[in-house]
Amino acid sequence: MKYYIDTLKGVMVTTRHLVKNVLRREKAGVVTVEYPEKKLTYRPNFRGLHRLTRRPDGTPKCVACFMCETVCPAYCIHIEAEESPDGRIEKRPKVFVIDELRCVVCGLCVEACPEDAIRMDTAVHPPPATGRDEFLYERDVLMSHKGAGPEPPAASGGGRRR
Amino acid sequence: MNDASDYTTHEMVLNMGPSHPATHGIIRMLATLDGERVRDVDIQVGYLHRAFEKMSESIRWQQVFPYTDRLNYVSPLMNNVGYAMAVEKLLGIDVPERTQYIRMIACEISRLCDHLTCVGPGAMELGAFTAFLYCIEARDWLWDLIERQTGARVTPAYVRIGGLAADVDDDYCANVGKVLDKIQPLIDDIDKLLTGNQVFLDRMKGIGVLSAADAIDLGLTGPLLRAAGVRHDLRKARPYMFYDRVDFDVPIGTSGDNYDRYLVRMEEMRQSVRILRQLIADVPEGPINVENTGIVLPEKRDVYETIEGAANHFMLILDGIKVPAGEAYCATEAANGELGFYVVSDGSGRPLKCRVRGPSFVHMQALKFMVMGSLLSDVVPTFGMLNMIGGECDR
Amino acid sequence: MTTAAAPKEVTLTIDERPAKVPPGTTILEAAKTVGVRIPHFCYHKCLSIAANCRMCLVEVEKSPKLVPACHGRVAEGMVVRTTTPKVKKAQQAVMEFLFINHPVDCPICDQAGECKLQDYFMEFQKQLSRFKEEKVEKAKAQPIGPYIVYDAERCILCTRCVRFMAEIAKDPQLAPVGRGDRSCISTAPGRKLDHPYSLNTVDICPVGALTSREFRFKMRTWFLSNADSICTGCSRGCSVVLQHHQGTAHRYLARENPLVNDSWLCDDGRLGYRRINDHRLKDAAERKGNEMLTLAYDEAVKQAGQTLLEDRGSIGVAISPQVTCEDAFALMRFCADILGVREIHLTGRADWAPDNLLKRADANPNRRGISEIAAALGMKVFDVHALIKAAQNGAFETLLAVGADVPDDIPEILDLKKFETVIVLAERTRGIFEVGDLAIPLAVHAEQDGTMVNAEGLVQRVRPMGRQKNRAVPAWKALSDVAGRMEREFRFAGPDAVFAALAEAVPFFGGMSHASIPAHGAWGAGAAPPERKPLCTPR
Repeated sequence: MKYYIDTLKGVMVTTRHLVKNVLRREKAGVVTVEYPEKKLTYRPNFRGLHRLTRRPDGTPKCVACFMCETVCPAYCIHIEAEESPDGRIEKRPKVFVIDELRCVVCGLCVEACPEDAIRMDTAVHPPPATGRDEFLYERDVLMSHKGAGPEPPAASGGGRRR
Repeated sequence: MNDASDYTTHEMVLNMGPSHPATHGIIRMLATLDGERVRDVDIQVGYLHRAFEKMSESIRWQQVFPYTDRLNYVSPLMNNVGYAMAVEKLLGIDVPERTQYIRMIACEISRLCDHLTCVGPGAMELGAFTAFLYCIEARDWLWDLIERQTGARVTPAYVRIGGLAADVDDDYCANVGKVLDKIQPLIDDIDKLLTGNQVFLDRMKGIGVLSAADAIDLGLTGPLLRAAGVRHDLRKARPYMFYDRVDFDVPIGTSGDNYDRYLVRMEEMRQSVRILRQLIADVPEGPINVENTGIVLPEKRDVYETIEGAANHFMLILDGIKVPAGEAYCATEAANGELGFYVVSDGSGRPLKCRVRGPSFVHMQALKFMVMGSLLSDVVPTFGMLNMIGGECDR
Repeated sequence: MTTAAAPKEVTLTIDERPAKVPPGTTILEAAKTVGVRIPHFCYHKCLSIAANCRMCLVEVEKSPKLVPACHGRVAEGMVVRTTTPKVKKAQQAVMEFLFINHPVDCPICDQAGECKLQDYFMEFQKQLSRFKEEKVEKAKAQPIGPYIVYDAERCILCTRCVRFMAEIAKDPQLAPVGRGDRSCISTAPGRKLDHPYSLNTVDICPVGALTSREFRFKMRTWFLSNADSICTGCSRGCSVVLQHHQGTAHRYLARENPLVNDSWLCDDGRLGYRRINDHRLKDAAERKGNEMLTLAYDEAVKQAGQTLLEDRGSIGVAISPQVTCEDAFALMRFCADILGVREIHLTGRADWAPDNLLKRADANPNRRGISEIAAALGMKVFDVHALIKAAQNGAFETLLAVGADVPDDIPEILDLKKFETVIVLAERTRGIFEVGDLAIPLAVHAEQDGTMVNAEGLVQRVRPMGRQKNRAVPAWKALSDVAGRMEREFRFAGPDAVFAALAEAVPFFGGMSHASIPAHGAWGAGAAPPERKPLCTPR
C-alpha cells in the first residue's frame, strides 16, 4: 500500500512541475533555444574559438613573441617568426598555427599574450570537420575570425610599437 | 527461494565494465557470482589514467591548472583551489581575504555540483529518471554561474597561484543568491521524490553497509565516512580558508548504508546552500592577488606599457614561478572526501612532483567489502553512492 | 721595516663567510670563491674594469659609501656585506634607472630568456614602474656589421663591446658616442663592425642591444637545450655550448675554457654550427646512373660488406680529420683486423688563413687525434694527393672513405671517381659523396658521444644533441654492422666502450675514459700544455 502512496506523492511533485512548465514557461525556464537559428549570447569572457587581433591598418598585432606557445599546456600552438617590413614593429609571425583539436580551451594563451594579439572572444566553437588537418587553423584564418561583443580598449605593445 | 544446494552450480565471473550503462565512471568490476550473490569482486581501476602526475613534472607550476580541472571533473574548482593552496603553502604566502571568500564560494558551488551529480545518476541507475533530470537542471544553473564568471562551464581553470585569474563581477553575489533561490526548492523536490519513497528505500536501505571501524580502516573520508557515523570533516576538524567563520552543520549518518550516504549528501547540499548564503553576504572588497612580482602576473596595462611589467610577465611565463625547494601537503574537504595535493619543489619553475591524493581512489578498495555477499543488483546503487569520479581515481 | 715576508693571501669576510684570496683580487672575484654571487652588467673577467653599471655595489664596513665590488680590492680584515637593506636599495635603484629609457621590447627582443635585465628584475628589483614620462627614442635595429644588429634604445652602455674590440680583438671598431641619455655605441662614420671576431660582442652583451643577424628571430632561447661540444672549424678546438632544439642546431655559444679559448670564438667557427644542419645525408643511398637514390640502411650495409669481401687486397681507405677519435679508431681497427689494410689517407677541408687570436690554419678539428691513433696502431698515413694519385693509377679498386669532406681547392679531386667502387660514410651530400657509389649517413660530432684532440694535444668530449633529423650513425656503429655482414665479429657496446678500447690501444689516451675527461679537456700523454697567454686584459 505504501508503494501506491509514495508513487502518488511523487506524481504530485512532477505534476506541479508539469503545470508550471506548461502554463508559465518563461518563469520555469524551459524554453528551448532553437539553435542554430537562435543562439545564447555568451559573455565576453567566454572561451571560444581563437582569433588573432589586428592593428588599425589591418596587420596582425601579434609579434611572434612565443609566449602563447610557451604557456600552452596542450602544446597546440606552433609559431615561426620573421622580420616585419614595418621597422617600428620589427617582428611578425610567418607561421601561426593552432591545432584546435589539441586545444583544451583553458585561456592561458590569452593570459600570456603581452600584445593583446590573441583572444578567445569569438563566441563560437570550432565547427565540425571531416579530417584532422582541417582543425589546424592558420594565421590568416585566425585573423579573419571576428570578436563578438564590444572591443576591449585598444592596448598593444609599449613605446613605438603602439 | 531456490537454494544452490539443490543443484550442482558453478560460480560465474561477470564482467561489469569498463563501460557499463548502470555505472557512471570508467571502472571494471569482475564479479564472481553464485547465482545472484556476489562472492568476490575484482575491481580494476586505471582506465582513465592520463599521467597527470608525470605531466606535472614537465610543465610549469601555472600550467598545471588546466590539468587539475580534469581530475575531479564534476567539481573542478575544488581541484584548482586544492592545488593552489598546496603551492601557496610551499611558497609561504597568504592570499587576500577577498580571494579566500571567492574561493570558498567556488568550492561550495562545486560541492553542490558534485553531490547533484552523485545523487542524480545514482537515482537514475535505479530508474528514477525524473530526479536525475532535476539534478541536471540544478547543476546547469550552477554551470551557467560558473560560465559567466570564469568563461567555461566544466573546465574553468579559474584559480591562480597567489589569487585568481580574474575578479568576480559586481553582480556575482546577487546572481549566486538568485540561483540558490531556484536550487533550494529543487532540492526539496528531489527529496520528496526519493527520500521517503519505498522503492528507493528498498533498494538503498541496509545495502552496502560499512561499519565505522571498517570505514576508518579502509581510509574512507568525506560523505562515505560520515554516513558510517564518524564525525570527521576537514572544514571543522582543520578549518582552512574561512570555514571557521561560517555556520554550518555536518550531517552524520548512523548505519553506513547506501541510504545514509544519500541522506548525508542531500543534507550536505542544504548545508552548502546555507554556507553560500552567508558567504555572499560577506565578501570583502580588496585585491584578489597577493602582491608579489615573483608569483603573480602583472596587470595587463603594465605589461603593455612598461618594461618592468613586460620583463616580469616574460620571466614568470618562460621560467615559471620559482617555488622554494621543499615539500608541502595540503588537504581540503572535497565533495568526495579528503583531496590532498602533495607538491615537491626543487627550487625551479616546474614541480618536481605533484601527487594527488584522490579520495575516489582510496574509496575503491572499500567497494569490495561493501558488496560482498549482496545481490548483483545491489552493486549498482552501492557503486553509485560511492561517487567514484574517474578523473580523480585514476588521474 | 719588518723582515717578515709579505702575506701571501688576504683574509676577509664576505656575508659572514671567511675568504682567503691573493692580494689585488677584486671583491667580486673574492666573493665568487666563497659562493657569493654579486650581480653585475659591465664587469667581465677577461676585460678591463669599467665600473659604470654600479650594479655590483656592496657594503664595506667602515666605508661611508657603497663600493663597486668589481673594482674594489680586498684588504686584510675587510668585512663585506652584499644583502643589507642599503645594498638592496642600491640594486633596486640601479635597475629602476636602467629601465627608465629601456624600450618595452621583450616580445620582439631575441635576448629574452637570457637577458640580465630580466633576470635581475626578478631577483633584485621586484617592483613595477614608477616612470610616467616618455622614453627617449633612439635608432633601432641598425645593422652595424655583416653579422650584428644594434639597438640603441636597449643599450645600457656597459661598454663591454667597446672594451672587447679594443682589448681582445685589438681593433677598436666600437666607441660610445653622444652624451647623457642620448649616448649610444657606434662605429666610426662609414665603417662597419666587421672584425672576424665581432659575434663575441653579441655573446657578452648583457641585453638585447647587440644581436646576431644570423640568429635573429629564429628561435626563442628558452626552447633551446644545451650540449657541451667543440667547434669543428679548425684544430684549435675551442669549447662551445651547442644550443639545439628537436634535432636542429641553432647556435654555438662560447664555453669558457682557460686551456683553449677563454670566453671567445671566431665568427667563422661560431657560424660553423650550420654544418650540423646543412646538406646532411639523411638516409643511405646508392648510385643509379647520375643520381644517388635512397636505400635502406640494412641493404646498404649488406652491399658494403659484400663489396669489401670481394675486393679484399685492393681497398684504399680514406679518413677525414673531421671525424671523432672513436670513429677513427674503429675505422683503423676495421682496416687492420678485417681488411688487412695498413695505410690510410687523410682528406678533410683545405687550410684557411689563420689569425693571431684563435684561428689555426688547419680547418679540421681532429688531425692530431687521428695521427696519434694511426701511430699507435702502426698505420701509415698519406695525404689527399697520394689518394688522388692512387685513383689515377688504379692502385686500388675500392675506396672506403669515412667523412665526405675534401679540399675544395684541388680540381683533381674529381679523379676520385676513377675508383671502381667508392663506399663513403658521408655526413653530407658533398665532397666524396658526389663521386660515391654507396653512401651510408655518418653522424657528425653533434650526434655522437665522442672525443676530439686539438693541435696542442688536448682531448675534449663532444656530446650529442639527443635528437636527430636523419638516420645517421657513428662510423663505429656502421662498421660494426658492415663487419657483421662480412661474418666477422666487430662489435662495441657503446661509445664509452669504443673509447675504452681506444685508450687501451693508444698510449696517448692512456688511463682516460669518457667519464674521466673533465669539462676543460685532458692533456694526452706527452702533450705539453703550451705556454698560453689568456686572451684577457691583464690586470
